Amino acid sequence: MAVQQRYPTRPLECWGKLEELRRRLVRDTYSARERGDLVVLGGPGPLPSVLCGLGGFQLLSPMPIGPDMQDLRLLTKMNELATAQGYGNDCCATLRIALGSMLMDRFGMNKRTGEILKPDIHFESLACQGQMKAQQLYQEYYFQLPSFVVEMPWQEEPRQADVDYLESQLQEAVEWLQKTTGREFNDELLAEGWLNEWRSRIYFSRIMEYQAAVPAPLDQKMLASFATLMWRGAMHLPEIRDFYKEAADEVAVRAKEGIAALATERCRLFHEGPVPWYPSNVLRYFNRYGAVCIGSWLYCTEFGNFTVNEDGSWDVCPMPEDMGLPLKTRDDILHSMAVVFTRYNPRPQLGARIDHRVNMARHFKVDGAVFALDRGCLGNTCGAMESIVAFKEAGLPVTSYEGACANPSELDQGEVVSRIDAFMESLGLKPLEPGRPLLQAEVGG
Amino acid sequence: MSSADKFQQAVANRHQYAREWKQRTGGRVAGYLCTYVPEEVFYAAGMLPVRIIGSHEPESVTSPYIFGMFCSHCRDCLAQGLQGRYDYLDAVSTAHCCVHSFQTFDSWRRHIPVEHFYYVSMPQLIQSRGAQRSMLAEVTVLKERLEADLGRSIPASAMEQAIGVYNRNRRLMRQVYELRQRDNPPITGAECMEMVMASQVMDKEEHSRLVESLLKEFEAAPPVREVGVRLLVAGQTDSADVVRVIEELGTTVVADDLCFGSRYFWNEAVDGKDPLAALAQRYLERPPCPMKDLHGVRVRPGYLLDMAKEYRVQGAILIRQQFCDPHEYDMPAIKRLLEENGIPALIMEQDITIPLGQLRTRVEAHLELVQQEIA
Repeated sequence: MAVQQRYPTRPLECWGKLEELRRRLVRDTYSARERGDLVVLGGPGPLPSVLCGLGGFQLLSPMPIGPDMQDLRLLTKMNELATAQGYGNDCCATLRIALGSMLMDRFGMNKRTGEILKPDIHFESLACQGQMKAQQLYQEYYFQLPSFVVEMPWQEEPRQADVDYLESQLQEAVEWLQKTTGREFNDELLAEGWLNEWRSRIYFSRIMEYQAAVPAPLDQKMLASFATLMWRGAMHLPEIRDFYKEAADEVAVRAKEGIAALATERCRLFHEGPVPWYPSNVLRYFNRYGAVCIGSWLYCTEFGNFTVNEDGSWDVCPMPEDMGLPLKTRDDILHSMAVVFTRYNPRPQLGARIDHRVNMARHFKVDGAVFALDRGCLGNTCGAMESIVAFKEAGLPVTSYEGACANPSELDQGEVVSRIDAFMESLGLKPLEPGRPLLQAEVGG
Repeated sequence: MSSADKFQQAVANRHQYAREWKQRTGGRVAGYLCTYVPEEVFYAAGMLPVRIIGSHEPESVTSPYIFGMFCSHCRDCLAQGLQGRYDYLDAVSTAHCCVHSFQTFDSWRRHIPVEHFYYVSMPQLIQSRGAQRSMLAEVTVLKERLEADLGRSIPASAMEQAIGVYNRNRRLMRQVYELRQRDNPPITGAECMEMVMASQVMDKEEHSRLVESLLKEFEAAPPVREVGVRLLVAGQTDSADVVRVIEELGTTVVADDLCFGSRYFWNEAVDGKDPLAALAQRYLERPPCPMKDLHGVRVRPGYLLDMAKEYRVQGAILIRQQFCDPHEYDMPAIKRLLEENGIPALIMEQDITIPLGQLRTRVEAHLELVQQEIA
């Protein structure tokens, strides 16, 4: 009988700090009024640091990362409410939850006190189609909420025109923020926030880059947990920057010393497409086969800033001091933001994402890929079928399942489990341990 | 054959038309998916720009490439390409709009041999201060790439001439649309839609001559037809048959907001010193589709209400392609505003194939509501 190789593994030392930071960010959000912070309704996509020039602010994100996500029955109810308003299952699943939450008067609710935190302004950078349209629904819900949005340019390839377009929007945004809030815009705070965000993103990119190591130092669920600070839109804070540096250093050591996320790693997978935001065991279901989901193009490009080479390796965006850009004036800062988000941001390059995926899969030494075809996230599903074709042509085994990242009723557990089991079997893997259900609670009712 | 019949024939025989045009002129044909493509640039380069249109037949060829929950129109268009119906195209283009049309464009690029592909990365936030500059850069890049690929320059005079040809065509079609404001419009909504769709697949000068003939026919003897309920059709459909069925039920579609209708041609490129800048401005300022109406407060509901009032509309039918989420996001707001102003609105979904019986039943039920409102 073959002996299964076991890699050394150990818990992440920075995990406790991550949890503490997450708790603190929630506390800070709901105590915003005590400090006179501005409350901003807005997604956590790029550019929260633009708001830093206004002084203290808290982001109230429509992305469903709060406790409501834990309650599958509540989620189902919220989805139903959005549907009843005319926004069907093909609309952005996560943002349907935000709308449902608003319609139930739960959005911005402090779950401990029941108090509702209402936003002062809406400010958002628009990175996908669903977000672009869904943000208008919040406007209609919060009648007369001042609003400004910035478009992250879609590109076939990075070009100067895109830098100019984004920079122009950022200049306009700063003027709007000053005028609308009546606050003076402090360029020093803007620079400080942006440089922190920039560094946070680079440390985060490096963390993901270390996933090319065998065994993988982290699994995808750990990566997702690291990303929660990004989803909170907190990457401009010095303590978050410091956390990501500490985490990157620790992951580098794990990669060097061969410390595995999964001791029994014998199969490496990309899990492409959105993973359920609600509690699920999808990412770790594979572990029973000794398979580990190590990341994906989607995860890496969500908050990472890098370029992908033809061999799948990365050129991570340089640190501010290495970029060679002036960083003294407001114009300098806004220009550098535009450069980082156009030159080192593969995400909006829709046409390139398929080749990127295949090349990265090879570079990260994956044995196959699992595609979540998300019925409620068409932006991330764009290119998914073509990627499946490309993976097959590249000789990389691939499977897929359908679901919706914020709608548990779209996930057919039985079918997904059958698909995964069959895929694992096709890779010649047998279970090492019993499986667990994909969902941790019942849906509906 | 009347001019209206000629438009219908042009749409029905669009592939034959393009092939014959190629043979006759020796020119090249560029297919485009989205009406935000500044097609005047292709025209100035001596090419025939034609819009890629679906056939509404069942298909089974796109599923390996496009997720099933992508817009039915875009899947239908790709199916045409995969089935070889556009094998005469020398170039395919689209403009940055929705992921659905991008997916069709990208899959076309990957699986259907065409010499050149042109992606116009148009800004979405058309009201933003940098949009004009960004769009001008896009139009300029398109022109330069075409020049490089064709091996000849496109002089400013050719651009100006193309803009003139397009503006004239738009002006003529607007004259036809203005006739729809009359108590007895001389043209049906289906005929109007076919006129616009024909302009998307024909040489513009030839099309303009046909529109002029149409206007003359109306002057000579306007067709007599029971108008019935005056309707607005908005959203997205590339099927004049849908409009025809609606009009068979005692209605006349007197106004539309479709990219196969008014949205395609409503505004002109205003003369200026720089033809490329004029073009950029024209495409930014045209009536927006949902993907170009993105600032906090939507402009489309108000725009449609104004149109409904101008054309004395009594009811509205909002058509969306199955899984077209951009229109889905707008439609509840449009329906709400129209109904607050006494215009009952029906949201209808359309798949690749169109079950006309079901469509008829739904419209009949809606018309009962409209009749109650009128009474």
